[in-house]
Amino acid sequence: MANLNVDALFQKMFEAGAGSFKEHWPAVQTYAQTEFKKIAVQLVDIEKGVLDGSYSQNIADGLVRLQKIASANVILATSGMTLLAVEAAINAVLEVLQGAVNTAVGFVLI
Amino acid sequence: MNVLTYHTQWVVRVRNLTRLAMAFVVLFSLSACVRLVSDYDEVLDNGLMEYAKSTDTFLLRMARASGTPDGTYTKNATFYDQSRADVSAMRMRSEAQPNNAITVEQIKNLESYLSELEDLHQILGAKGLTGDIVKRVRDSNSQAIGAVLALEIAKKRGGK
Repeated sequence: MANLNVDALFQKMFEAGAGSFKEHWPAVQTYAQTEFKKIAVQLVDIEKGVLDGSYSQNIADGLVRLQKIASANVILATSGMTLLAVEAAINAVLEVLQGAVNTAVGFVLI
Repeated sequence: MNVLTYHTQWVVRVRNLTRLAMAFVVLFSLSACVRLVSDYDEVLDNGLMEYAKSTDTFLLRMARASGTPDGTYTKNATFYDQSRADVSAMRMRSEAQPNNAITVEQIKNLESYLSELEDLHQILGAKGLTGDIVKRVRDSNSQAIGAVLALEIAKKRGGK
């Protein structure tokens, strides 16, 4: 009988993602959710393959290692998107500051 | 005016000029847009798409050739060499861009992925990559490459 469950695995990843990315989570949530779901489905399918004898331990290990690398790339992409959101926030603040300074001096200073 | 007063006036002038210069440095640095992540790279985007296509075509061909000599690792070792060269070229290009550490790390992961896939292909011996295994591998491979692409496209920052 299968031990892993797609929804339960997904929920754990979702909670970990939301907890780790905190206030930046909304900016990456759509992408992360889709990818977390794929990871959960993949791991459950590998487990099924082991239980029904389709995969030996060697093969299952190999497939899990491949999935771990793919998952790492998803987390890295999510981190990069978070950094882009921070960058956009900094630039928005700088733009306001720039507008205020230029208005104050009466010409385009910065 | 004694020497001490003259000296003090100069110290004050130099201090004021330094403050003015610093204020200009701060103001002009504000005018520059902050970049925490590298710019979008169309060449890398295209390279990744090509790589995704070539690996996927290979996997589909392997599923079809499973159980025949054409599906064994030995018959297909050159694919791994060629793909390794493709990923290595993408890594070198990414390393040359400033603020690109995350993409570089992702591409290094693609290199690791390829090595792991090569090991798996060897373990499978005469059977080669069976249809069921190929299905699992295609999913994780497209996710690994797609994640690099997703970040690259996000670097367009709302631009087209």
